[in-house]
Amino acid sequence: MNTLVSAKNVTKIYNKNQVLGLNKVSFDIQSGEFVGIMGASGSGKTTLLNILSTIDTPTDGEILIDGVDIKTLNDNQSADFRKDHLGFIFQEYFLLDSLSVKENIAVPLTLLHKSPEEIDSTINYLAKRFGIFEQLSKYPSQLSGGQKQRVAAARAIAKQPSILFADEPTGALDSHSATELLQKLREVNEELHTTILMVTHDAYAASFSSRILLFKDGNIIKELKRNNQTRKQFFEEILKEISK
Amino acid sequence: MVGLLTIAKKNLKNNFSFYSFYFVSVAFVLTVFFSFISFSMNSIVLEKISSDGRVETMSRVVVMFVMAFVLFYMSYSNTFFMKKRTKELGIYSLLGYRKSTMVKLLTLENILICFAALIVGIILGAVAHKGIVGAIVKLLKLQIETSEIPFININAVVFTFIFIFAILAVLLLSNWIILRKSSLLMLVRLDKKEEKQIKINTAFSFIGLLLILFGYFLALDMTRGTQSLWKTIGFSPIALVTMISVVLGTIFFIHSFLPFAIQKLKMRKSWFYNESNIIIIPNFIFKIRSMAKTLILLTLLVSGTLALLGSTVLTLYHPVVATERIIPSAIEFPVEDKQLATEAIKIAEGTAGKENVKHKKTTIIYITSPSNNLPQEYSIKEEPGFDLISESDYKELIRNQGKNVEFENLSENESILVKYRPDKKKLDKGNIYTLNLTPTNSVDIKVKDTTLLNPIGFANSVGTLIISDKLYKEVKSFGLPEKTIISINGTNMRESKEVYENLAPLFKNNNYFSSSYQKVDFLIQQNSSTFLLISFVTIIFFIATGSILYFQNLSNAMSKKDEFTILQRMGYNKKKVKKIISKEVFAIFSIPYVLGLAHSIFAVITYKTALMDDLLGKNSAFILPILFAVIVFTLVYIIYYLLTKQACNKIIFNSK
Repeated sequence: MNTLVSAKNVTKIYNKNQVLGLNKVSFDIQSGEFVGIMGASGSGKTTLLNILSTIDTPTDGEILIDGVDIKTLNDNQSADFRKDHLGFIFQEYFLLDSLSVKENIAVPLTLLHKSPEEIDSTINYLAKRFGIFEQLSKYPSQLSGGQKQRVAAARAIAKQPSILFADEPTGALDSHSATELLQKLREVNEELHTTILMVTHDAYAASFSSRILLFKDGNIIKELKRNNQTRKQFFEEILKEISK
Repeated sequence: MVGLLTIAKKNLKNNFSFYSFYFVSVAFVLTVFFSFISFSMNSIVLEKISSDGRVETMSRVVVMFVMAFVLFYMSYSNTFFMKKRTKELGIYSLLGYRKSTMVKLLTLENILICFAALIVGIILGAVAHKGIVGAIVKLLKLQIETSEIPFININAVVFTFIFIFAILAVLLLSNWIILRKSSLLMLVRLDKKEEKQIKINTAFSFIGLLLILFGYFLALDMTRGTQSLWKTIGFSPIALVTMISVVLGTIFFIHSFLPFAIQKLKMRKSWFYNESNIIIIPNFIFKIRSMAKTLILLTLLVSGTLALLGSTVLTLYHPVVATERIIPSAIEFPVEDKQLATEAIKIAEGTAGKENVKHKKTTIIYITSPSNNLPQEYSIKEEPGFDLISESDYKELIRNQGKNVEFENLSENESILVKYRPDKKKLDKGNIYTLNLTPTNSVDIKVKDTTLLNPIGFANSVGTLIISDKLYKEVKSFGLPEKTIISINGTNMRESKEVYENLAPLFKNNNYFSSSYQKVDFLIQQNSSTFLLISFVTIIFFIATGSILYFQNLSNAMSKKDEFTILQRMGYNKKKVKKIISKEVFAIFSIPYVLGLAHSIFAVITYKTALMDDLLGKNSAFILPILFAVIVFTLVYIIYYLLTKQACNKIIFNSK
């Protein structure tokens, strides 16, 4: 396995009150990993995700993703970088309301100028995989929250990104839908070897990952590895850790 | 109360870019309004340009029209802003503001905007009024001391103030009604309604298309002349059917056919699976139902504006060009008194210089014919018959007029018939007419060709037949009734005011004395006030169309700001997002433009065929003025498009 993301001393300072968003954060992510980032709100996890996904820029430090130093990218280059390398899932789904499920999944593929045949076959494959095949011609407003999030996941994975960023993906879901989604994500990680970085404050969601970085006040305070534990054991370990 | 004023001021300040367009457009509308009211109250000018009260009546009608429009425009934009602000109002409501307090706040904001716009409008309107009066005085050469006209007409100011108060009262009432109807829940539950997926009715969509085509067919049917339904069934019923058919057609077309057609376009995957089309097309189908009302209104506005402008320019331009045929020479008069004729030529030469004047004396011979295939021209005049002119006289006159003769030499029994109206099929060509020389003696003559180049004005000769010099000499010897006409031509003669003015006193009360300068001048005098009034209406239509487009697009952009953020996260760069925005704005602009343009072209064709006497047979005489109107409209439209696009970009890219 090779290093996909390498962050060194990443610091983010928000001008006004000198509160540190991130304080010299360093970590690596190997390709094919499923990493969870946990922390309370204000711990810096969303800041980190924004910086990694080139939406925000760090004040200091170095980040390499797939060998690209993302600090050096200008607006257009970072847009292209997101287009070619990154996939996103958000708590609010962020589906395009006027587009059907099928069209929503097709958008990133059209950006990569795939052929219509390839687009259709990719959509069909992923729709079956995520259990939304019956919904392909429906519109987001006709779907349940869980279905919406699975559409968002299919859309994010369709272009086979180097890394998939998931920002509180289960935040708006009921527990059943949340479990379903998390299982799908783990399947994708295990079978398609998609690297996933998931930000969450929920220990249950985090227990689906293979490694967890715990954030507090802009620092990584602890790293937890699942190793050979079952998901349940790992969940217990996480709970124990965060209740400390 | 102080608190409310502070909130109102802050709101205006914070939403400056949003309100600035509203302010500018209201100020613009009020400028037009005030300048028009000043004009309609300007008795000094009105007395001069209208002798029979026609202009006063027209301007009264236009005032009503303008007032109705200002009211419509203000309440449209007011409601638009209200809807945009439901969320904000909901927050006030949550904070414990009463609805009556909110109405006060809204009214206060309206008063601030309206009065600032009113001041700007009165100043600019006064300047515009001054400019209009100056232009009219110059164009119509009126004897008016412009300094006597006050810069700001107090009556107009009072009237405008009262009118604005009335409008504010209406706005207050409508805001109150909207607020009363809305519950707190509705206010807080965001300003964007869930749009339902549309169901497309294929039958309706084709009915729309067919109704429009049927309307166009009826419009074109007018050109069939006497056989057309407009003549056989009647003008008013067919006009009504055409109108209704096109308006209903437009409604169904926009409501059903457009989404249907776009839905079909989606089937073409290689086209649809494109980074911008995949966003634009579904968005468009999604939005079209909620926009349909606006688009229909816009289409009808565009058709109205263009048809009005096109037909007005046509009405002004066409008779001026047709003067070329009605009075082919610069000056023309029949010789009734030889001395007078000689004196007239002397005066012309004295005014313009001898070398610049070409005068020609022509004698035409009246002759009758017993044939039964006679052309229409034969019977147009008081006593049916032909006017014979000799070939050499004809050629000299035509050359004097600076034109080229269209035919070769005539043989003895050949003739050329001068047509009154153009006849592309040349139905008279090849006819043989018998001309009565004496009650017992006659000669047969063949029509070799027809021409539209009449040598003599229609006041003096209709049904002119050009015959060979030899035959002319022969006919002349029979002593038939004759008429001698003097035609004066020469360099810049047609435009010469001096020559006309020096000659006119000699021919007082002579209806056969004609001058091309005088005719053109008369036409301008007659039509310019109409043109002016129509221009007011057109400008107001322009503002209406442009502003509604602007507001509609802005509102779309605001409701889609989040979607563009998603797109940017997915890897759409700024350029691609801008491309999508400009294509979406373009689509909304182009629908009313294309449909409205088509509607108005058919309307103008009908208008032209029904009400205008075509003497020229030249398409350019119709196409040029219509093209002028279309170009002016298109330019204004493009400016609005660019402004709108820029504003939308600003909304999407300016954070918060």
